[in-house]
Amino acid sequence: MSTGLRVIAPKRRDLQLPQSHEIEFVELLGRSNFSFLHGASHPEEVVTQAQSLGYKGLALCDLNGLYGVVRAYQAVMFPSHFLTPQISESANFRFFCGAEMQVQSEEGIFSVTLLPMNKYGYARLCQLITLAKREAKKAYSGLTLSELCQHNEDLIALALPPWSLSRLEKLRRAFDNRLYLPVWKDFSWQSLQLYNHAIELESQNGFTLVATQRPFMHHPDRKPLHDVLTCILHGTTLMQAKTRLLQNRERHLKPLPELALLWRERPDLLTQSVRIAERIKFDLGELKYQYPQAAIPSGRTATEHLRELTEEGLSWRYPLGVPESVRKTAEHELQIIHELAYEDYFLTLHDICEFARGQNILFQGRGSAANSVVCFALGLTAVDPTKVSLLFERFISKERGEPPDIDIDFDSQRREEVIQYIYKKYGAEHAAMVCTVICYRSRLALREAAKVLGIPLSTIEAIIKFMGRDGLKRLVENPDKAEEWDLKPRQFQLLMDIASGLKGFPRHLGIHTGGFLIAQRPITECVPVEKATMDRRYVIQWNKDDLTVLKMMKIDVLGLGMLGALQRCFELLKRHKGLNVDLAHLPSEDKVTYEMIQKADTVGVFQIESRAQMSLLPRLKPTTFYDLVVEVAIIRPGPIQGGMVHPYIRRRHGQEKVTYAHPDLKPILAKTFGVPIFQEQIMQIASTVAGFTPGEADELRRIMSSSWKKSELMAGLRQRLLNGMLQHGIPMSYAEQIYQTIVGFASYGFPESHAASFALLTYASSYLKCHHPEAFTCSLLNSQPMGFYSPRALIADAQRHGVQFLPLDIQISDYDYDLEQKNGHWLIRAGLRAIFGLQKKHTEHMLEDRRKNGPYRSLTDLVKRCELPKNTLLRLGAAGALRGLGLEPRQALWRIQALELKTDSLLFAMGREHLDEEKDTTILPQESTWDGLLREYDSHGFSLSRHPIGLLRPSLNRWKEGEWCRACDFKNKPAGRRLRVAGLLSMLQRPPTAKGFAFLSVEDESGIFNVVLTPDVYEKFRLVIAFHQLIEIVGRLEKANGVINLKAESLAPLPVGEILHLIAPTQTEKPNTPS
Amino acid sequence: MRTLCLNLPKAERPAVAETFLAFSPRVHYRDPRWVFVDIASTAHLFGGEGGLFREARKMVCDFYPGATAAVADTPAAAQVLSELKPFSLVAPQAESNELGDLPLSALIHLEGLVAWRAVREVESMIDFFYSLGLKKINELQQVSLSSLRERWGDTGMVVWRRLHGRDKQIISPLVPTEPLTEYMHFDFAVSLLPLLLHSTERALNRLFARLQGRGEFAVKALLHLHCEYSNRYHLIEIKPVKASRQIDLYMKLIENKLAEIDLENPIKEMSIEIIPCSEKIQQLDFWEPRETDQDKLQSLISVFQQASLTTGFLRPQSEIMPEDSWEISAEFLPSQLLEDTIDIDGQAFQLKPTYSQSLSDSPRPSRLLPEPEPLSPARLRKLKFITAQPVERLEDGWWDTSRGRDYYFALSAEGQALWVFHDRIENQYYLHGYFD
Amino acid sequence: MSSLRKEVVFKMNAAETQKIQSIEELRSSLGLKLVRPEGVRAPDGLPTGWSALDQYVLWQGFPKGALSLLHGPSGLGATSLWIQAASRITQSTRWCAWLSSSQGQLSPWALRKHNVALRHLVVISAPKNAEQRLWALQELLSLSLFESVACDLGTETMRDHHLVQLRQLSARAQCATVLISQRPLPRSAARFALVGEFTSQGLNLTRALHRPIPHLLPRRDQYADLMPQLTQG
Repeated sequence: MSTGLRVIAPKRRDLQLPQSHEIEFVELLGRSNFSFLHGASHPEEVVTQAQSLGYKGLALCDLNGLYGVVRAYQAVMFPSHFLTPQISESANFRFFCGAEMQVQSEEGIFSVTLLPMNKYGYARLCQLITLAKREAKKAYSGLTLSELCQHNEDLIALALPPWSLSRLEKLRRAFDNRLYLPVWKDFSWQSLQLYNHAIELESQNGFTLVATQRPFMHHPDRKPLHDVLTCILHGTTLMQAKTRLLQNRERHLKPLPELALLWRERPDLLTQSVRIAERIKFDLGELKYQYPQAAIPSGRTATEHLRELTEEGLSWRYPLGVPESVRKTAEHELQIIHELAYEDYFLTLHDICEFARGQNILFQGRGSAANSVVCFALGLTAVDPTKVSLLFERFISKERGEPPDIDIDFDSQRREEVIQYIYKKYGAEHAAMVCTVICYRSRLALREAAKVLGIPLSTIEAIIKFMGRDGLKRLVENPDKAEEWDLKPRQFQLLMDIASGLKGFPRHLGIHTGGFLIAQRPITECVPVEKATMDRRYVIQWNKDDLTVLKMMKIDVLGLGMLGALQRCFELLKRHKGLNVDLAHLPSEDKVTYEMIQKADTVGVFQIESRAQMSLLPRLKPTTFYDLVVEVAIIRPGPIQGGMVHPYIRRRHGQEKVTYAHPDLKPILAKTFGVPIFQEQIMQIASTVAGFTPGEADELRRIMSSSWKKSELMAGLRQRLLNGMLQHGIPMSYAEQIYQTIVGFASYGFPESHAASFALLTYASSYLKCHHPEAFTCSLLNSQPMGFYSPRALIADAQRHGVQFLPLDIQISDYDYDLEQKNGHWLIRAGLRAIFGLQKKHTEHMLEDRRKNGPYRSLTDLVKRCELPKNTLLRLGAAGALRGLGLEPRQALWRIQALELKTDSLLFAMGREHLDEEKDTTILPQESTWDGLLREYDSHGFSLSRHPIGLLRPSLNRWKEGEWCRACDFKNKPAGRRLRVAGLLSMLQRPPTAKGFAFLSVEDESGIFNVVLTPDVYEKFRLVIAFHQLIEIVGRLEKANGVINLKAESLAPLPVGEILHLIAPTQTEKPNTPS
Repeated sequence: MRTLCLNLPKAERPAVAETFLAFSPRVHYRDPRWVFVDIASTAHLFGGEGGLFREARKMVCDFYPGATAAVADTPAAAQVLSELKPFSLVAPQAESNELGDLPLSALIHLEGLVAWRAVREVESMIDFFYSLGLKKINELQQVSLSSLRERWGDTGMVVWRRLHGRDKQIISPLVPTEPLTEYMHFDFAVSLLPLLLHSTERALNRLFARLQGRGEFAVKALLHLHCEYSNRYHLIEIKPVKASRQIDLYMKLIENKLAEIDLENPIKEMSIEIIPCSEKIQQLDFWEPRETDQDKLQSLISVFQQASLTTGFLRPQSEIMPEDSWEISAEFLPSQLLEDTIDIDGQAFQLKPTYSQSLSDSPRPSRLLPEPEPLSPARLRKLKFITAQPVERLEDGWWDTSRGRDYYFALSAEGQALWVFHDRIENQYYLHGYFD
Repeated sequence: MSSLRKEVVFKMNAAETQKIQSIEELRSSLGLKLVRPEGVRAPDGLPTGWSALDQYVLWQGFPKGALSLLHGPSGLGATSLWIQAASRITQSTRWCAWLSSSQGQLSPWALRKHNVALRHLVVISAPKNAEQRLWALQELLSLSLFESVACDLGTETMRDHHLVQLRQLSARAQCATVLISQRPLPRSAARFALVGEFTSQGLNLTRALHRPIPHLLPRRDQYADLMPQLTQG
């Protein structure tokens, strides 16, 4: 941060400074930016600064919590390999953890810093923090003095000023010789007064003092950032903050000579801090973590129980006999599990999955769990080890000593039941969710920085819109934009400095999507727990990286929409067609399914329905399960940025010779034709070819999986990797390519096992789409919102596959879409859930009444029997669902508006004036097909019987001569031909990796087609796309190995009003009979 | 009943209606910008409605550029036509089919003297009819009163009546009560006489038009000219011999008076007030107020303020630097120094600390020099510093002019207690005050 | 009003009595014959809180309805003497005013240290020239609202006929006008009822009605509680 004082003048008289070696000091009140908005340095920075200044130790005491403790511990104990080691001399630097608790007493709020002396003290501290934060909102805490005094054993207390004698006496009664009074000198009159008060207390009342610096930052340059944080906390600007800010920048970690000079007349206070540090015997590593004993049938140990379950599982998985290789690996795995005593972990998972199977919630394990045969046997994962070669070391390895990390996907709509089951089974004391730390991203950092500088809101919006997705670098690159937002250059520079300083600072805790920590002893003994924003949810103060550092086991309970859809499809098949199909027993390698996939007819299929995947399928032509695994893993930023996609395709079809940059790479990359795609492969390359030690390889894996990348960490990694590769004789270009893949992988890398378990779902969904399209579409529509396509696109695609739909009808439709058999083949009856804004509880009541006492005779009968509110009735009428009662949509709306809906009135369910419909003489205008279509699109987003382009088609060439091409006849048109097409815009995509290219998926009555827009064309017609849905596209046809795209040259909106006039009057007046 | 509706471009004060008293005594002003005039009885004075309409149109256009007008039977229809068909004159009884071909959304403007009770309800009615496929107002006019009343209760009834011109809205005669004042604010302060005269004339025109409407005469005119700098103002009183309504007489008198005053301190605002009388002399008010201590003080302070002596009570401010840490405020307010803010939520609390709130207790010299006085090295050597380390280190404003000072206590040779600081940026010592 | 004052002056509590010895000794040591207050009709005074000065001067403080002059280098306690007097006045909800000079402004911290009620202290910024200062003082005094008006002359002086006008005005308004300046005004000393010069040794009274002059009052350190604290720090 370059702002701040330019040059600080030398001291007036350089007093002779006592040598630094004989002074020893431990800073007991260290504070990091995990006291949200109170501290201005990262935990790692605080600790490394203390070490480089030669302190004996540092205690990190954040406000009401132990949020940053593990990060500091990690920075001390296992410094990263890739950071150049600055810390040389202080070998015996000790790190202590503690917390500054804000306590409420009669006289007001004061703070006490607590340092645990041993393991029991630490547990008590965690309970205290949990007590304070349990019921409190975010950033609030509620601890009272009496509670503090009850839990005081094994805790050292530093009572912070302002002191009152009565309160200190109370504390002394509780803590007696473990109570100290911290004093500091930061060149402010208040600190002098407090210092004198402390001396008086020491002499008259016998309290012991200790010197500290009460640091809020690790280096004076962070003062501007601390001021910004204070302004954010108070919600003011820098100009109005006035005395809310610190009066000078002395609250930082000072070098020892300066400290000695400050305390030259009382050096004993400095050494007092070391004496206190010696009383503390606790280190975070001591946290023993036992996994809860699972429910084991009596008389049997966990290992035997696990072995028995595995045998059972294997026989269930392989009814025709367990292959010898699988049995051998299972034995090997069981042996390792026994050694590391992880049986309870597996049994707990097994228990949770049994519960899910009981409630028939579909689930599937993924991540590193898919590498284990035991998990396959226990039914946790569904990846058959015989099909995909898995290495168990990836899941659990002895030398790494890290606990296994199993993620299990559940049906996203029923995941809450599983979570509440875990809470009920283990009790809220023993199970809590892992937290994630929400940090300032560039967009929010810029917004806060601008607010603090008092820049008006409109300018901020303009800056953020300009910044787009590429973060602050785009702003830093062109400072000339400042005049446009009338910012002075100095102000703009300040804005950039503050925003880049703020980036990466923690803002508050969020809940990890599904991480669970379950412990045998109450969780609050090893980590404090606080209330999460969502009700009935409690979250621990550490995130998943902290848990891995402390070797604690966590379970991920994640949600996946597709699982729910598959489950519904299986139920539909069982209920209607009597087929008993299950995810594990689908016929594998079905030829018809693969042909469908190769034709890229995969709308709605899991993972491969996106436009990018669809354009790749015809080129890749997957024929085996492993091809699907590659297909799922390949369209990711990792492989794309690494430039691996096209060479793989060419080598897959033999167009290119398979070469390896180095003979050692052959065994690793053989399966993927010499092209690295999976995370495991990158790991193996790093360890075998680049000479990474297991520790470095493991840190590489952690970098690749964690989303948060520190810039200096990545620079160190790049250097280390390139050196390793060059020594091994690999050309620089290839090494650079590998590094790019790693950077890409770091954000969304895909391990092979992970891709395998996803590929299984892909295969299952494409099989069902191929053989039972109506059941598959019905289940997809019932689990909206999910996936890539809107209900309209799914329905249009199903209709093209010959599936017929029945319109919404109050007499027949349920809440969900359902299948109906009509003379031999199956049709889908639209469900009431499609109607926008219709509440589920109203429909349920109506449907259940219909089941009980039969269909409704008339509107009045409907209103009488189920007392629906007016706008629900209006929505049903507008959707055309009341045709069953003989009411056209417009008549229905007109009639409903007149109904008396107050139940106690005499005229209930009848017209207020016209008792029955006949006498109402107002004639409503006849609804044209176009108005009907608009009504259906407004009401439920799709129309079963007609398509807007289809309606306009007859009069298109009357509006503009020339040949209008349709989507279905793209196939028989030569490549490069200039075409004019009319279409309804359904999807716009501008992926960041596509360097400005935009992809539209446009549909007309005959099908969906993709339109490619070059950056300049997109810039020119951006407004057309933004404001119009019915557009006219003129472009050239592009055909590349089976993929058809339209390269757009110009776009224009279709003037619907004008075209409608051209349609011959007879056509529109055709009464719209229900199809 | 024939109504002239004037639709002004922006919100005006009720006094604007008096300008149109010239056309007919029955004038009604509706907030914020509509004036309705019942011209049925007075149209013949101007040679028929056309003549009156032309006259009104000329006046309204030059007083309020951008305004529109329309004549119709009922006030509601007149308002709709002034909004959608400006300056149209509808023959009697031809109103409903004139409205007929307007789009349905014109219903919103069909208000007349009484605005819609709930505009949202009317809007939802319009959306409902659009969803039923109705496009024009004449289709809406087919719908029967009973159907509208059945579905929308009394709003439906009012809509039906206004559509068919059966809504009885009577415009009552206007009793002029508003003061005859005009106020003008110049964006760029005016110091040229002709410019000033031009704007005065425009204001006088409007005022005299209202006088005309009220049938009164101007006894005298008061001009307040507020200057740009150090809020000086000129007060000019123009009193012709006899109350009169000639505008050029007043303009001449004003011109002579304005020529006397010097305009180098430009005029920022101007207000003109006319004291009207209908040929009778008004009485004066004899009550004399008693002056309390507070009033004496207030008058003293305002007199001193005018002589540019800032006077008032000392009020400490929570600022870091000593010279900004107080201000003199005209009336006494308890000092609100910034303290820690504590938000309580049930049992829990959140403390938002104010880090340097104790600066208000740290020692400040009783006599603070307005400008810190640099100390020459010779004088510096004579001073005896009490502490080697600074007593206070104050740093401030890194975002604009950053200041960094170390404060020390010092004793001079004569035993004076001084407050000296060392500016860490320019590395120079200053004397800032005496502990007198 | 003045008769009531007589009893008050000599009814002192215990702390004051031992002071009396010093005044008795003073009288006996000097062998002078001091005029006792009841011997002459002394005008009323505003007690300053500095007991030595209050005892010695006839008016027990600043003379009401007359001019007083405190001169000497700033930083020796002239301002805080008037401030202590002002704190007594403002606490009993009566008004006083301070006219500052271009050389220095009054700071609220010192006022709060001597616990002056800011509600009853009117502060006027530095006038541009002598005429405006005189005009301001005349306005203040003609209001007859203020008990005491202090005017900080800084390094400037005031002409003799101005002082005569001020004296008449403050006599008519019964207001104690105190002038604080850094330079002595020898020629017009007669206009003042009380003149004190601040030196490093203390306050040297050079003019006080019916009191032997010059008389040196030992210096008392106003900010004693401040300085030792620093030596420790």
